Amino acid sequence: MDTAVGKVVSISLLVIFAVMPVLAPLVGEPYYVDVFARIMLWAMAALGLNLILGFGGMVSFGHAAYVGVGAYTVGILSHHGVSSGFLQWPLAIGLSGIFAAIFGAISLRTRGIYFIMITLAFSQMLYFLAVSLEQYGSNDGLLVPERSDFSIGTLHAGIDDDHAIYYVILCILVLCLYAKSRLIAGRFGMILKGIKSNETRLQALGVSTYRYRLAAFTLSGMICGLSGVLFANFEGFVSPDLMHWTRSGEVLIMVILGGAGMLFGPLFGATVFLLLSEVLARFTDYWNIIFGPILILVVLYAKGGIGGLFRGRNRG
Amino acid sequence: MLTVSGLKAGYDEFPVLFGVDLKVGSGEIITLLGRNGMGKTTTLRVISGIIKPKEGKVCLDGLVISGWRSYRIAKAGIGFVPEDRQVFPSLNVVENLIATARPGYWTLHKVFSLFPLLADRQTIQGGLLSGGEQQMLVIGRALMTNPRLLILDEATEGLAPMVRSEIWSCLGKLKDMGMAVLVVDKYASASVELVDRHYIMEKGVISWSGSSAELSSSVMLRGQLLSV
Repeated sequence: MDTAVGKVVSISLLVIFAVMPVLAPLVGEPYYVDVFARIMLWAMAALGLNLILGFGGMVSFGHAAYVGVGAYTVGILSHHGVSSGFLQWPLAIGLSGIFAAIFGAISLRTRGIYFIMITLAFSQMLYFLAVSLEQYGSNDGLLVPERSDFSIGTLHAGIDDDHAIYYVILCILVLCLYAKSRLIAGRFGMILKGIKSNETRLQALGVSTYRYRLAAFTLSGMICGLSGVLFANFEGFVSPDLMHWTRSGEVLIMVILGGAGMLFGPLFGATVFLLLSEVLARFTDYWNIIFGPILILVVLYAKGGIGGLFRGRNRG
Repeated sequence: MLTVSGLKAGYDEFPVLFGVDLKVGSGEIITLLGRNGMGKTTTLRVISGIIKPKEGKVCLDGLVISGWRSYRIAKAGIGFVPEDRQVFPSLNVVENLIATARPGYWTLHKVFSLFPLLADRQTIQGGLLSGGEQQMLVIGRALMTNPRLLILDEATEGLAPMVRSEIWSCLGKLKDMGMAVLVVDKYASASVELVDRHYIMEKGVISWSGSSAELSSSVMLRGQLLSV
């Protein structure tokens, strides 16, 4: 976020997230704590996608798959009684990274619409794989019997408390935002932006752009995997629905709605998307009829999404 | 340093180059002249690996680089400044320079002393610079990759005469430092004293080559081959 207004709005938003577990019960809407936790989880997935879409110009239509890999890894391990977070988390994030690296290595050889289709195809493969896992609940999903355990020896540490998991999610989200801002400001970020505007030129200047794109794709899959890890812990339940292609579409919409290529864009996008759908769904079952046109208006009139409204004139 | 021999290339089924031969030695400024559509840009693109040649060889210091991917050719020591500049519009001046930099003689400081104008624009987005500033930026960007050979396509096209002579005086400085420069520029004749050798291209082959003195003395040659 370039401007002072943008910074103030972004920080205020984080403060609202921080006080929500206290505020929501006070105003008699404790349910909103869950809504805000989900917003943060999807914001994290959108943040992962934004790394390659917003900065590198790669439109992946299959990023929910990596959320699913992260969530299922935790779910399946927990199902078999392995609840140590020290084992679950690295394994889940690592597996998401491996899937993203393999799928990315193939998808990134294509461009434009083919890239969109092939990322969608890979995510559908994982979706149907999850559906076919009858041992793990198939379509009905899988209960995660207990949350990740971080106890060392006799020192007990866990995230069983609902406030604890909420704040763990918030802290990890803030860490991701910080790490991403550092990454984007560095040479890696410059090269990603260069790839978005002129890949041939970068190659002619001696940069093997494929490697950078693959690294970014893998990293973005891992961030989505981390979001999946937290999903499984928060919901206590994983299902193939998490990897459905409409989920990938929603993450894509959050990025574009919030402002592709902007640090806080995914957070704005996820907040507006999920809150709006929540509020509209209270009035009517056909809330999509209102939601759709709003999205179209934002795309047409708020260039650069919601984040774009707070940006200076010389935005890139 | 650079030897191009029997180079044939084209776009899809449409041939453009029919056997191009040229040489660039270290510390030389070489121009590639000719009317539009004769294959100058294509030649430069093949040398820098953006297009693959169909036949022929490009050697850099004895190493055959033709057919390599462009990023490997750039790493081998060729800096390419394309004709339509192509700064990275969303990166600022400093970021444009350091994003693709490789260690060597050229640093931010040295580029800024070569182009003092850029030093005053460090945090401006590349896309907001004037044409002349953008050209300086892309030359600086290519220098920051620390090449041994600098290739410029339409080095001063569309620039004001003063900027044009500034760019050429910079090329002179680079030559004095021992860098090889291969340049396509309609306005090269204004700086003939700097140029070691000219090649004139006609219909995809080199039809004439010679020194600046020979080029200047041949009024007929200039009239026939260079007028648009």
